[in-house]
Amino acid sequence: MFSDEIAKIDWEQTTKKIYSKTESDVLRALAKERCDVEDFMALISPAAEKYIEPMAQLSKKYTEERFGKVMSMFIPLYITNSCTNSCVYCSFHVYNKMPRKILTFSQIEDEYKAIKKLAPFENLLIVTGENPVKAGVPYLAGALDIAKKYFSNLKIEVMPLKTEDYAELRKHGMNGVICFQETYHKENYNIYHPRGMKSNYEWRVNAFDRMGMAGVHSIGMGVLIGLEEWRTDIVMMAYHLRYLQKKYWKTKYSVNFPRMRPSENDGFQPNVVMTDKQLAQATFAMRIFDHDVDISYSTREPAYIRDNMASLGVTTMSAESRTEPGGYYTYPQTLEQFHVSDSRTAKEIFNALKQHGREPVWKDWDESFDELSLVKC
Amino acid sequence: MDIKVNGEVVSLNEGNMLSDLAVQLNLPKNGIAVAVNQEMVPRESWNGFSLKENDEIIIITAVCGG
Amino acid sequence: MKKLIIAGKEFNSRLFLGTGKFSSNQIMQQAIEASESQLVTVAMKRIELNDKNDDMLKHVIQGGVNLLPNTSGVRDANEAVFAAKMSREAFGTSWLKLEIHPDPRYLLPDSVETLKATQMLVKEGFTVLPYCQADPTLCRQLEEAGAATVMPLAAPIGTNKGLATKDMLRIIIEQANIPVVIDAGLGAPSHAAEAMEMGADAVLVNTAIAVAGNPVQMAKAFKMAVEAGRMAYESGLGVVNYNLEASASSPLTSFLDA
Repeated sequence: MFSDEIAKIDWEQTTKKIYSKTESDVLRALAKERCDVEDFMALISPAAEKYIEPMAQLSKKYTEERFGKVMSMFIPLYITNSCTNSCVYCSFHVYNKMPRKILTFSQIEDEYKAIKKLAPFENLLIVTGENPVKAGVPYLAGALDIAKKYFSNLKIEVMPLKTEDYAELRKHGMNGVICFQETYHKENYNIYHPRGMKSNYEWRVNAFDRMGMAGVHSIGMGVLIGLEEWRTDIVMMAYHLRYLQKKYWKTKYSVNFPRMRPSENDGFQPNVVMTDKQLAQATFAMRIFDHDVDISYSTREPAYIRDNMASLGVTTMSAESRTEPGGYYTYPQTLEQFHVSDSRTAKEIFNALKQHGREPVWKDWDESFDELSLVKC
Repeated sequence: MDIKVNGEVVSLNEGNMLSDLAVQLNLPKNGIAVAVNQEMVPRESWNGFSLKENDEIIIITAVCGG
Repeated sequence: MKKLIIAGKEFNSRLFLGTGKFSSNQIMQQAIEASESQLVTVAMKRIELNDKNDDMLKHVIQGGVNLLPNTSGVRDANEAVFAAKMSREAFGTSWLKLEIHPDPRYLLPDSVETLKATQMLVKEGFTVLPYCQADPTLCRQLEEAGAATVMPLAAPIGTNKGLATKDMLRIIIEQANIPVVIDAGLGAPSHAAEAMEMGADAVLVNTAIAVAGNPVQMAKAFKMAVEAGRMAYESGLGVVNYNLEASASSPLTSFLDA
């Protein structure tokens, strides 16, 4: 399991390595046909900053070779904000006294219908807090069953589950799972996640192995920028990505770089800030490191970043997102998880992407593929 | 009794055990394998393995190859 | 330099030798010695009842040399399993080079039968080293089936063409969790060096040494080439020229300076 592997990688040493990368390390990485994690460290280091333009060119080239000019569109739907964890940076944490909602199946179906009115979305991401008693695997299964009527590709972003639970949800049409490790820094992990199931580092970091073993078709990863040294955290994610790709070779992968935004919880301020230029550098570095991974930007990011980066390495985007449960129809004013920065409508985003030479695609999966991929887990 | 060994007809002189055939043919003490009617028979089982009329036996050994 | 480990067994040498096509057993023996190889292939054939041939094994079994019997001659998985059982009995090793090439002209391996045979043989406790096409997905499947290594071909057997399947070999090396032994088609020590520089774990050479003008010296040349290539790989190879446009006329990143 990955927890064994990452135990062998020292955080401080990795940080030192990154910061001692030189220009020749960067040049060597840029010239290689295939980069390893050492090369990625060079590309994400301060030494690579002045090479951002050639990195952008390479990133664009590799992205277009692999993905064409296509941007895959998806939409998140929060169906609960009830949570037993107390992540210090999140508005859903258990001590935050705001009304919590767990949508009923009827309400969930109303949300699906409302989403379909916004744009021809086919890729749905179902998001929940962690409340395994009231909104556990049977609840998720029910939400997925109904969703199959409206959407071709279903992903979930929920608490880490057991292997058999991932396998079970696959039978209900779940195609992919997204789970942000938040931070790979084991010692400090509990500062941010002090209680609840989420405080268990191993359980979370090994969830990806469990997804792989259950045959989940698409796995999405991410580190929350704002907690620890972001270069090191993203390098850890790169190690994790390579490890998973080698072990679960039939799986697709995606990465996210969520930059912490202000939330309802005014207490926690990000420890580190990643500038727009650094986000671009990290994106380019990731693309040069891996030509095939999906790179996803959410509506956390402002319009001008999304529009420009769309043709330089990003391959998946959400649009017109609401981060409150029932935000599309049922409860327009409930507790949101984070403020959305890009609040344009899906149609506006569609047009902006077209102007940047991208072809936004709503549907790139079909139910008929589910039968074939539903092998014995 | 007549049996086939590597495609050639051979008459068993004495006894009808595979071990008797090994003596008769003066087979090497190691580096070979024997199959009777497409089933490999390990050396330790030769003594006690009765052959029947028209059994087909293959004996292989090492040869140079890539 | 790091040691090569296959199925728990350590090897100092990353050059494996085939024993076919030599002009004499004596030359073959000297070539094996000069190569310092620790794993050589042998084939099987029906014993000559009337003509007791020179037992070739005694020319092969030297100190530190391990036998790798091959299944050359079989045409499908069932025949391969039968050959494997005979081999284990004859040579006292459950190591096996799985070779299934029904086409007698090009001797290209049958992917379907090779995968089937690997699955069957692993279940029977054999240590399977399958000779196969340079097909990355097939190599993944073979690994999943429990093969101890994969042995993708560089070019058809005996052609001495070198790394004709280079692009596929690169992918195989990148994706494999088991050792990759490049086998068949290596015609010169420079090919072997390049294979090792690419990250192959070992190479298997037969024709290029056996039919060389001076096979013993050629074996030594291959030994040196394999060592050089591996050392280069472990030292981190340098870069090729790269044209960097540090400041393009219409930079893609100007939006970041706004």
